Amino acid sequence: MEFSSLQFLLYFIPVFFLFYAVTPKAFKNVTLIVGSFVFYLQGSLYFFWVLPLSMLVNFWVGIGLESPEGSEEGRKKEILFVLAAVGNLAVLCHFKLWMKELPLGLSFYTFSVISYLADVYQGETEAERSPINFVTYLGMFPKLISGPITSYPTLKESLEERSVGAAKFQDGLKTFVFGLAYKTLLADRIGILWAEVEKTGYESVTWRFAWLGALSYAMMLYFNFYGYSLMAIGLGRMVGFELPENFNLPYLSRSVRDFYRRWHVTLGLWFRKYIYIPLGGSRKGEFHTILNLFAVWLFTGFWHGVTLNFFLWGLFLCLCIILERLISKIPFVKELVITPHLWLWFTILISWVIFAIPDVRELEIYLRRMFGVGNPVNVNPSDWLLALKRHGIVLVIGVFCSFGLLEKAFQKWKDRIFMGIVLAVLFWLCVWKILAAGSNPFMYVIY
Amino acid sequence: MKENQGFWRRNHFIILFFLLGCVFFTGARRWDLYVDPAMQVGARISSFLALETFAWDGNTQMAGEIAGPGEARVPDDGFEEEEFGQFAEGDPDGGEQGGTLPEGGEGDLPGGEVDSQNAPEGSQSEFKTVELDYFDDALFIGDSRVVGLRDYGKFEDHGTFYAHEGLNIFRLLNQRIVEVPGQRRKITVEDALSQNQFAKIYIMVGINELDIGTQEGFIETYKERLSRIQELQPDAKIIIMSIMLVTEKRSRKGDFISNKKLIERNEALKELADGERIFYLDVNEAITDESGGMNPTYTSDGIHLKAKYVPLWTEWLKTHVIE
Repeated sequence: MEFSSLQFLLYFIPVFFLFYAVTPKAFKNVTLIVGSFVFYLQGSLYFFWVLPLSMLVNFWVGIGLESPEGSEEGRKKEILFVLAAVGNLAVLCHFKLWMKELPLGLSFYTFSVISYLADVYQGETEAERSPINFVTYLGMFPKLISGPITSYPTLKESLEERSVGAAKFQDGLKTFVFGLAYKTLLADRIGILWAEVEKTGYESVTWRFAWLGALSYAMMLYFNFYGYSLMAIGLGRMVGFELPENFNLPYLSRSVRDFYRRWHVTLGLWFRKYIYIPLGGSRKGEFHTILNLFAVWLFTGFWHGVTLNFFLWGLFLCLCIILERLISKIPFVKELVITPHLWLWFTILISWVIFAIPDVRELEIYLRRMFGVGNPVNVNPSDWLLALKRHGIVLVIGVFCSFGLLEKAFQKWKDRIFMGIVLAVLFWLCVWKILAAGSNPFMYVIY
Repeated sequence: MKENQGFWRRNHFIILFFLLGCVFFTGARRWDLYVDPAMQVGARISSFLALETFAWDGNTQMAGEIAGPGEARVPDDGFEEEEFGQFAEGDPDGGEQGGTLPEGGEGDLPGGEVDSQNAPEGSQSEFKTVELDYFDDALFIGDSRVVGLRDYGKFEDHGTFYAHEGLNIFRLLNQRIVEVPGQRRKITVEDALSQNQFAKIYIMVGINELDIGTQEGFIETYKERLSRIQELQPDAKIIIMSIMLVTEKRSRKGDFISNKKLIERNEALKELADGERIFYLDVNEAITDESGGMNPTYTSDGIHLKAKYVPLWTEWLKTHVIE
């Protein structure tokens, strides 16, 4: 079930939170699990039993990893940990490489569970002894399908005991509405421009239209995923958890490296903590650092998808980051003001195009069009003007929103009554938009 | 009093939220979103209580029956019921038997055997071939596919286009889509047709409204629109272009778009041609392949021709002019 579906907004939220509110404190996690299960079963039923089964196994593995220290025990623990980590990754790889689709939420789930096992193995936290709390941690519906990837220690105390109430509920609901508006009013609307580039065919676009398309894709992706993360954080707060922030105004970054510290933050942290640092990070000299970066980015590409373009995407970003490392050693580079932003937008837009187009031949055509190389077919020279006329305003609004002023206003005034009115109106506006789309699953796509 | 104020301050958001929700459901007349499921649940419970002794199977069946005809629920969209209520009754979409293309429909799509013997239904004339200037006094009305024809059909300055994404037969004449030079506000096709005269009017709509109302409602409305256009353009030849099919893959996707439905509509559209002033052109000849649907190489989304292939359509129109 999508957060931005009528089913979720009009039925699941009221019914679930009614039950949740009347559940005695000691049993709230049970209600949350039941609700999450219902939520999960409304989605794709493709191998839906994989996650519950995996939770059961990993619960026992977690406890096994915790047994008291000792040289003999330590070796056993190491073997168990490696087996469990490889096993979890093998399940993920199996579905990614050889099956038609993934069980819902498996990518995010796998990373959460590996982080849990690693944290327990390294003694950073005790294993969870309550199966109820364990399943709540991994399976709660706010973060089940698309994160944010949350480490177990951050939630440990709240799983045991947390405050819920009208104040927290409303605070969370506000964040949820904020995210819903980003997704429904911005992402879906901006996406139309990208859809137009696609339906025109990449070989027939002007270079300006190609860049507009890339920009619209970048904005669509951002508000989609950022909006989704905000909704998740909001829902998390509504049930009493503080889930970590996932985006920190990435488009304001001054380098690709910086961008990926602000984009999908929890994934970046995961890679840093469980891949980059264990490999030695940047402490073993320049050559090793570059190797480690390659490893991290290839893995990141693979995590996003198994087609060749994701590999190229990871490679491209990795090369950009390495280039940035080298260039940053030149003294005057640090004093530049505008150039770093231009560099960022230039490289990131190209990287999103690589991300967006799975067919490498088509991708090549698109990149060629962006730089005006190759022979275009049946180009309409004013295609970019037509696109600007129809989508220019919403695109400008999108870029403006990516600068973070709305977030500031939201933080500053979210407890004011007028902000309450604005958000309540926004919510019902979103519902209206979704309703107007009717049975058409692509909300705004009209033919 | 003070406590009350505190309560309001603390809970103003949720209160506003609910109040606006009530306003929304009342204003949009969509309380059915809650009433219908509640009725269904109610019916289920009451049937359960009444028929406690029955087997489980019997119970669910009864519940379905009670909820079904009693509430007369419109399957998807309430607004359809309001706007196009007259068509919402009866058999939705003319029956849903069988998943694949009906035999007749397939036979109706001559894959490759395009020639002038394939003259339009009800017309004695043969096709002839023309140059682009033939379209100087022609008008094209349609949805996004016709927008594609306008932008990539290589018509240059020939022909006039009243086309807009999402245009459907119901809004064909009263949606403001026609730009007037020197005027900010667009005008409706109806107004534009009473100001300008054309010799030929090509129309293609019908995919956006596939999930609105019924087949009969669509055809009825199409007929009404045609006669209104005839009133406004007494000298024009009206050419109904068949609704362009989608690729077989897109058709199987399982949403409201399917070639089966499109072929049914096209069959009925063919009947609207009188061979004198209204003609039917099966443009699918230009873009379908042996699968029966749109040739997948011509499109990236399965619905729209890519710019590269839109000229196929233009060329086909040039060789299929009705005398």
